Amino acid sequence: MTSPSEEGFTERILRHHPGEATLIAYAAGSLRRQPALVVATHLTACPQCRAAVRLAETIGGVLLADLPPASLSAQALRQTLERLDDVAVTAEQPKRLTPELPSPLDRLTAGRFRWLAPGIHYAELEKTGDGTLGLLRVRPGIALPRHGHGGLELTCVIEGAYGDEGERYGSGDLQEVDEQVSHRLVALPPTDCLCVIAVNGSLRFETWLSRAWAHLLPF
Amino acid sequence: MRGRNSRMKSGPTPVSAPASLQELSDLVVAVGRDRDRTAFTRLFTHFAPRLKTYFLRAGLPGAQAEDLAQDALVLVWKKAVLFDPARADASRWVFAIARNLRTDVIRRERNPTASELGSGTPPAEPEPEGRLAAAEAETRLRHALRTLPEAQMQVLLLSYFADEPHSAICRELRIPLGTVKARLRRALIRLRALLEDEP
Repeated sequence: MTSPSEEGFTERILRHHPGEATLIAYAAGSLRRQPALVVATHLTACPQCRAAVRLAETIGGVLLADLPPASLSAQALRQTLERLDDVAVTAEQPKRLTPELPSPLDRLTAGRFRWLAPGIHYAELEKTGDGTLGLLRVRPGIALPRHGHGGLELTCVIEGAYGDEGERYGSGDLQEVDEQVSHRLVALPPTDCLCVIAVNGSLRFETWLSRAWAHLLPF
Repeated sequence: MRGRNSRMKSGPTPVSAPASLQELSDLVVAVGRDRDRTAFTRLFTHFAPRLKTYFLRAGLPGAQAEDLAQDALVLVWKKAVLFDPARADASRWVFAIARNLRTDVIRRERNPTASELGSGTPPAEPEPEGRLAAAEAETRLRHALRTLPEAQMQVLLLSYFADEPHSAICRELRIPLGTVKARLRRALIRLRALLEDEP
């Protein structure tokens, strides 16, 4: 089985995608940065969703043209023209800081994987004021921890697979996890399941262990 | 378009009439190929005021909204060399640049290692349409948008241009999230069907 680092996600028909509202939010720029990165990861594996995003962006372009123009300060154009002198015009590619991850995650620096609970490790990718993005690696047979405060959280499988109530989520699949709904996500054999997850606010892992050990966790 | 976008501040400066998609595409090409500042100025005049509105509606204060509109146009200058008129729609292209800025910047401290999210980031497969087809698609999309039921259009506009779309939609329209999602789904299905319908 090829890993994503070698050729991107292996071409297969994915069964689990972001909903229309999330795709539109992504295309429109109203999705927060960390869930947007999870969606972007899914998009590298999913031509169907890429087409949907293109449509949503085209709609965005039309709607943008019809927005009422706001008035700009008198020096706006002049300032902008001055800035052009300093712009290096190159078609540079962003540096791949973590090449073993699929795009666009490869442009981030992954923290070390830290032990969270038996069979569960977590590595932080990015943490900002209102959200966290990280990698979860779970051994087969172990349940993925419930991981946030609520609201929309997105999970995209990078390697391996997990099962949720009879549904299989494999490499490239994206799940919108609503904390209101009770899930039990279990990593499926044969390999570890590696996912990227975006949660609102700071992390809060709930496993049978974490309540007792939470104060010892590094985050 | 029906006059829903009537929250405009009337500024003293008259803004030029919106350029056609073809013109915009030609201007971007001129910027990319010749570093043409006259062409850039025309792009600025067309896009910057509307981009400012986009960022204002996203919840940013006026000065920052204007800064981001400037940033977007600087990125247009920088990336114009990558714009392929045979494959791309200039309005969509500029919108995506602004969208990436919004995603990276809005309501949080800027991550110093933030890099741009492309529209899907992966190498874009060539789009089926050429330049003429992109202009036609835009016309058909405009017609299609006009035919959307009001309920769907309201939800669509708020999705693109509200600060916190989901709560804004639920609050302003007083509908539950499930209804919002259903309307967006129907709107996209309808638009896709109308666009694929050959005249």
